[in-house]
Amino acid sequence: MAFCRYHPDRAGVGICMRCRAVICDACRTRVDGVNHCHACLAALARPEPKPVADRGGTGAAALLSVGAGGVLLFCLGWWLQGRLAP
Amino acid sequence: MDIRPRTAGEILDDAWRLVLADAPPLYALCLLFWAPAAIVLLLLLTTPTPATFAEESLLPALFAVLLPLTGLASGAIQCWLRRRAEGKVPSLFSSLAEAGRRGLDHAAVRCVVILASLLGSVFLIMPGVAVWVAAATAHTHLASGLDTWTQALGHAGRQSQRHLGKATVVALARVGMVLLAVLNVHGVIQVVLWTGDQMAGLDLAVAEIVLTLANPVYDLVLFLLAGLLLAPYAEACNYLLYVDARARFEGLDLWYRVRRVFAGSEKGVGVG
Repeated sequence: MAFCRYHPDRAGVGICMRCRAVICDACRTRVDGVNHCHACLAALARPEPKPVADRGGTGAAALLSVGAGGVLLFCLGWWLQGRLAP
Repeated sequence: MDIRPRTAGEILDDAWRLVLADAPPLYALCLLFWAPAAIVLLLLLTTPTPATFAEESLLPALFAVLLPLTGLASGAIQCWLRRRAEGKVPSLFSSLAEAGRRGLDHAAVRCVVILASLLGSVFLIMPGVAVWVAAATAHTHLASGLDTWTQALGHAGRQSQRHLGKATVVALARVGMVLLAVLNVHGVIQVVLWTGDQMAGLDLAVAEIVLTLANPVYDLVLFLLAGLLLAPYAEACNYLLYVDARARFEGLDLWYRVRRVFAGSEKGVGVG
């Protein structure tokens, strides 16, 4: 017999869809007929992490890529120039 | 919009609903960046090479600037669709501003994807298509605000690997739709020419000679027009692919539901 991860004295009645933990009736929340444990729902309800822009992303690498890409696209444009001209 | 897992057919079908629900702003966002790039590409290919170096480098330079900027169109449309899904009221300005804050990242992703796809297609078609399919949801990941541009490319690639068949079907179906749109636009033009010639008695001989599929410039215009018409649809498909993968593997639908239920609670206490 399996027991609840959070209440070892209680019998498990289901498995959490997200973390696969055996859970008892008290820990179980059913959404659309699927079991979820309270820990996973709490994790989902946590505030969102800070957006990358606020963390100071990878601006230099992006700038470098756009620059290098721009040069390559310029070369491509140069090569394409007048290809369909009469 | 319903956040839930979808089949490939549902993605292709629901993408139309998303586009038709907000057609004017989505087309405005798309045309703002894609129309100048398409016009420059058209001029670049059809204008005879000028004599001086300065004139010769003007159109390639514009092409090199405007093509990466189309990444902002993708970013803005993804921001719009995400706000819709969150139940917020999106606006043109807020979507553009949100995409603009990550503008460099969107431009970098567009540069890398275009060049890698072209490079892959030069040797064989398949590597180019693979890059294009793998990077389909990169702008959606960027618009989520949680990934840097390199992480967005990596996550998009891993996500498409998880459901490779579906991502490929959705991406290649769009190619079929572009071809269908080209044929439809050409058909409409031919009907207009026939009506003008046969029923209105107009002299359209020159137009009938120019507007044929044997003319490569006309073909290019048709493809650019079809691409512009279907660009918001392509973005909607990418967004639904992203939603589908995240709902299946990370429970995004549940996340939205928990957000709605505990909207007032900052710490999310009391869940479960």
